[in-house]
Amino acid sequence: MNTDRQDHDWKILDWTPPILFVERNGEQHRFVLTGSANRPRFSWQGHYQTTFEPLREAGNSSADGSTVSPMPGTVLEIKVQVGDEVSAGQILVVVEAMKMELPVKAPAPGRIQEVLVNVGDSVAQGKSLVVLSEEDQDRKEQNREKQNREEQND
Amino acid sequence: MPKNSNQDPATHRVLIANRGEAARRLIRTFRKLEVETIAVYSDADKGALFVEEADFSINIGAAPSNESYLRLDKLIEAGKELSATALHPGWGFLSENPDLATAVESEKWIFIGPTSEQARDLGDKVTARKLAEAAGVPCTPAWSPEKQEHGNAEPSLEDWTRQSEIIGYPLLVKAVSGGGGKGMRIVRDSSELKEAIHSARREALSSFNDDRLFLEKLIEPARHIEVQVVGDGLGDVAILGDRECSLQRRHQKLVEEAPAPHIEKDIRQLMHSAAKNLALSVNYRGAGTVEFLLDSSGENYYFLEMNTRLQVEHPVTEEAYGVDLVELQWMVAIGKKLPSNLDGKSPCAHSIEIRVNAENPSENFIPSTGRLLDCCWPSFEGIRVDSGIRSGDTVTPYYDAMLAKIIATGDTREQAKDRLIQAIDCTSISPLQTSISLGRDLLKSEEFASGKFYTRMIETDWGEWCSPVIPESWETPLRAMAKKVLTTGTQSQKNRQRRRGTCWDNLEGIMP
Repeated sequence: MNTDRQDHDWKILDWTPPILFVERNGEQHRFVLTGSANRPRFSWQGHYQTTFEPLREAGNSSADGSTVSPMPGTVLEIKVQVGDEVSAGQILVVVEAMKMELPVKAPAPGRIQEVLVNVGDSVAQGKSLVVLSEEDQDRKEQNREKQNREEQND
Repeated sequence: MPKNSNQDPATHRVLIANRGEAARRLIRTFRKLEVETIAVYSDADKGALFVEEADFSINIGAAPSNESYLRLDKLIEAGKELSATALHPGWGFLSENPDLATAVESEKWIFIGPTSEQARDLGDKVTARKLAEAAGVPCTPAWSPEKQEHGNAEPSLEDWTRQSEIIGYPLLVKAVSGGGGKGMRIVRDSSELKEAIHSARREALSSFNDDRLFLEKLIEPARHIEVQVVGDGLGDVAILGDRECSLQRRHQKLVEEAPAPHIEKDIRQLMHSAAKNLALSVNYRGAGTVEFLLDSSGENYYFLEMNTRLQVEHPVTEEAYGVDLVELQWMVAIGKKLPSNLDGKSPCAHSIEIRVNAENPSENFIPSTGRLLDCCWPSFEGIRVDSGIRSGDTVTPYYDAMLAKIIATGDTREQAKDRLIQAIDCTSISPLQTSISLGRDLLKSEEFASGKFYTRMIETDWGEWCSPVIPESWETPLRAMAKKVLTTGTQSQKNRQRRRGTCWDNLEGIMP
């Protein structure tokens, strides 16, 4: 893919929601475009493009700022301790389900406030595994509110 | 067989012992036939589309399958409570469990499938092989221990090893009650045999509650070709062409098409008559599929198994041959004879299907679950979407990852393929990841075009495949374009999107 060419070569050929049909340097592409002007969601060639997500590698976060198990399973490994500083996307816990290992990642940077499970525990889907620090939670709430406002203002 | 054949169809009420897209697919035909339907649902499926679409519905238990959809007693109880007169098992779950057919028969309901005896004999791989051999169907070299069901008679490792050498490596250790690749191990030399038997037995016991195993020669590379049969149980069997289902991951099909391309005419004929002979030999009733392996020479085919149910991939046959297989199932279930012009029907089109599995194909197919923000399906000529979901639904880890199927049909294979690729480009069930992006590249591959693809191709040659991610330099212009089109949209468009924060809800699930 030639990425040196400049962006002004993009041209919208058609927009029949949700299909955005564009031309770039003579090549045609279809995107499925949904969401809002400020928070668009793109799928390309059958693949949802996480690039556009505001918090990439958002892991699996619940409303209370803790990280939750993506599936019912067994806790295989706990990679953090209370007090650890973690970065967004860092693996916190590994859960095993359906013979597969699923990493649970930090939704955002923060400090580990509490670890709620032990290795070997059976966990239900949505069970909180780790609680991240308060500051982080506040920031997330703010972000969410801001995003909601943006959505409504579109 | 229950003698309800003289009843008016309107007096029937079918319990759909399934969920999701399978249940919706079945309900669609029964609605057309003016037969009432009962949906059974687990706690996880309370708000599901199929529950809304059925005439009646009833909760049968908690989310895990073994507390709901796999509970024979609860299905029967539900049917009694809502006065069912018939039951359709769909596929998966209990569809091939002979106990279901037996239980339905003893309630004097109509079982929309084979007799319990046929389900039992053909579901047991060793018995099925014997029936196939007796019907003159070619089988791979194999060995199964005698009296295996009595624990004491368990053959020694020496026995297994000796028999393995007679058959020759590579070979398969397979569960007698297996399916979907469970309880199956490839053994390439004698050093792998012990562990293969051990792990296959353990898996077979936990998956099928039956730890009997047998040995079978591994045909590799091979294509998976299957023949669609419909029998009326009154001595007549119709062949409705074949399907190519070689593109698989973990022994689960991903892309299927009908008719199977790149097969010599005489070999196709031989496979059709082999399937017909097997079905006739048991006076088969219902829709069934006889699966074959075709070796790389394209000249040798071997019986794999017979599935005594409707298959997931039945839509490609329906589209290519212009039939409604659920309607045919119903017809023979209520004791009618097959239409005389059905057998050997020629295809009127070519049809290709991609399964929409909620899994990440570039991360070893790990399940992708969660709430759907979008559910955008393609809608144009030649496209059929069989789906069980809508935006706002939550995809849970309790059930099969398959959420939907996109079926593209055209005058030629090329046209069907091009339509399917465009259909994939117009599909989004964000934020989940699905198998369709991999399917798209498979469809575009040289191997697909030339028909040189085999059952293990995805695992062996496509292991390094990565999802198509847009180049970084595209991000800014795409954001700008999104801003432009999503801000200038008409008010009505915005309202439509706002309702569930998504698109195309009104068009979802369009059928041809």
